[in-house]
Amino acid sequence: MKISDLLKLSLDNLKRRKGRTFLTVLGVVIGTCSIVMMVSIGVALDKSYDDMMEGMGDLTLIEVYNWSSSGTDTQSMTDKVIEGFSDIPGVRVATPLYRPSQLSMQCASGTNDKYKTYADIIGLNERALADYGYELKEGRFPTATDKEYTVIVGENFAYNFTNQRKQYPNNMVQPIPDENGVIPKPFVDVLNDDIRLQGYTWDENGEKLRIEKEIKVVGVLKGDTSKGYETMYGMIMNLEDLIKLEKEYMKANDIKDPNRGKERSYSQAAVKVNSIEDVEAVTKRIEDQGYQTYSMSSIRNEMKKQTQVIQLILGGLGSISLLVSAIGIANTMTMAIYERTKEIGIMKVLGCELKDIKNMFLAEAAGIGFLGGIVGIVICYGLSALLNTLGASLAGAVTGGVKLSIIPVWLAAFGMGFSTFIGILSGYVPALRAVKITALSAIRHD
Amino acid sequence: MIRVEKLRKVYKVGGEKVVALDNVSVEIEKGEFCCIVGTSGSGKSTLLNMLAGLEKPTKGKVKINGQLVNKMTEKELAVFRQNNIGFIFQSYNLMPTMTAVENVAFPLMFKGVPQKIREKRARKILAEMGLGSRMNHKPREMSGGQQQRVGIARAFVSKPKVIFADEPTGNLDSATTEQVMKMLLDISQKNDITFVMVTHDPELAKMARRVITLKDGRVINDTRDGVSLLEEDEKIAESFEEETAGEQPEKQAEDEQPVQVPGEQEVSNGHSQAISQ
Ligand SMILES: Nc1ncnc2c1ncn2[C@@H]1O[C@H](COP(=O)(O)OP(=O)(O)O)[C@@H](O)[C@H]1O
Ligand SMILES: [Mg+2]
Repeated sequence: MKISDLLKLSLDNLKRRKGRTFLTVLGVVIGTCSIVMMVSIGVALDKSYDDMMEGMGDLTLIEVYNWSSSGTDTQSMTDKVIEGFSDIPGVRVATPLYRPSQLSMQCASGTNDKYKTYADIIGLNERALADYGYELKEGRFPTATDKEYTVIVGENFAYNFTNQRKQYPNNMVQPIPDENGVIPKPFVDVLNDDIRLQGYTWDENGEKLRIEKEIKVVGVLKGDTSKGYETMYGMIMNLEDLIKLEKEYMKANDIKDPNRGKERSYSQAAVKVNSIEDVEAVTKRIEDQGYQTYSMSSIRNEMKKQTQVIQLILGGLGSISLLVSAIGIANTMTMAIYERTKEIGIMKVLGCELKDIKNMFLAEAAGIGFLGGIVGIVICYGLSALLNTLGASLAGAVTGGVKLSIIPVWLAAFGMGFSTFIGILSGYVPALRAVKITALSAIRHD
Repeated sequence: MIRVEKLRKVYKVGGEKVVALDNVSVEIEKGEFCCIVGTSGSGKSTLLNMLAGLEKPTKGKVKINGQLVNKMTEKELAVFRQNNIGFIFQSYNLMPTMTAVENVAFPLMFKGVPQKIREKRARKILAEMGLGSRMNHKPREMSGGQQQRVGIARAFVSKPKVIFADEPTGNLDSATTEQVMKMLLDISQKNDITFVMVTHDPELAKMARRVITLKDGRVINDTRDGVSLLEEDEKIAESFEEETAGEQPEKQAEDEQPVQVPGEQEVSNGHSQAISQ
């Protein structure tokens, strides 16, 4: 028997009992709707979490800490250890993130140090800078050929400078548009003006300049809090330069180097991986070595797990009504078989094969499921749109563009596929029953 | 063409056994038009159903075209029916939702014949039977005689080797009966089809060359052109070899009947006979 004939036969049979077919399809529509709507709410929830996380931090960045007290097995985080992180598959770059604890420096510019600010400096491997994911607003990254104390600064670093000759509030400029919408220029043009790093000592005679270094700012970063405070207001320096500077400063201030004689080690490092998928494995490798990590990705994974549970629960709730509609299909098919016992007998006498009889009933059941699925999905898109506009007007500005229900293509396809599958499944036992009807029924039911 | 050896059928009704058919051995030749006659309850339908493979005998063999019908599986039977057998019912048994053309083309659908081709064939045969104006009518829009002609067209459409008919004129008035009967004789002769038909009407049976008469489940008369074939039938019975291996035991066959009560008592159908178990 040809498939086209089989399908046509099944369709004709469905049309014979329009009222009953309609009610059974309606059951499937309701079942499909409830399952798809429930999952769509879960999807929307997941999406809103994702959006939230995206804004909170760089998902491919892993911060590594060594908080272990001495005496534990964990090796201190030396250059070599961090170098080792770079060799883990999936890692793009690994660098110490050095925040000198002993160093307190100021930046000065203009004649007679007219403009001054405290400098918040972090040290990074020069090689890491470009790969690390920082974006430049102006200028360039330092290269190996640059001379000592070549730095890059955060987007609003220039606004840190205050005018030493003026009183508050006229001693500062802020990057806020004035009444004409114009953002005022900072006192210092960091890329072009001379800037000096100064180290002071204090005693009863007041402060005394001990160290002064000419620095060269070659780049201004695009501010991105997800990549760290330093991209806004800080200064980023080559690690070697910074360590050298700190040593010099300690010497000038008679501060004892707490780590003297030991191999240099860091309490913090940053590891940048190639993609989000790498985060988990890399994190594990690093944690296995005894270090602590922090990444937006791992937080996101935790949240994902939670939303998955929520989605499962929602989907499960929706499934109940689809189960009820499955019973409806089975019932309809069983009734159809009783009604058509004689016809099936006749078909057998006329030479219809068992598999064709089975497939005919399966196709009818699948047809009910498929029809219910399609109608259900169409209704779901409507409901989803309604829910989103309703939700938006209720929540107003609080949720902004957050959607309450999202039906991705895969969900629509799944909804239709699943309802068809349920149809076939619930039609299976009745179909087997139809197959068992004997050819003799054609005559007996006279 | 059709060879029946020592056919026996026992039904079990409410713990009692009913022997519907016993020791029936006949051979029907190719192209023969054969009527099975007898009073009501004599076992005509039972015999026909077993010939057509609709029911399994308790014992004995049915061979059509050399193939052992009673040993076929459901699956084999379906294909066998597609290619060899046509069936005409007393109550027409047309598909109520289908038109005349669709009904006639229906058996060809099971064989996988494309719609255009099978409906063309159906139209042709309907036109030949004088139903040209009823092609697209549903069964309930037609008279009994017209419906049965559609039923006949359906049986002939796939040009089967054998056609079985159980009281095909049973629901028709006498004028229509004669028409239909002539039609059956005519087409089966033209197409060289072996035709086996059940009727309770001896007058109607006279129109056929071959007549098998049943009484209480046994063949009491068997004639071709008025010449008795009972001796030949006896020879067929003698040639019967009981297959021990693979033979369906009587017990099991009887178990297929729905009602079963232990300690059943045997009731023979009219005359006393020993039932071997
Ligand atoms: N399915 C059945 N179950 C029990 N008894 C049956 C069944 N079919 C037929 N019989 C019995 O077998 C005998 C022969 O029946 P049948 O072949 O229908 O006779 P006919 O067609 O000649 O009128 C009858 O006694 C009938 O009651
Ligand atoms: Mg009968």
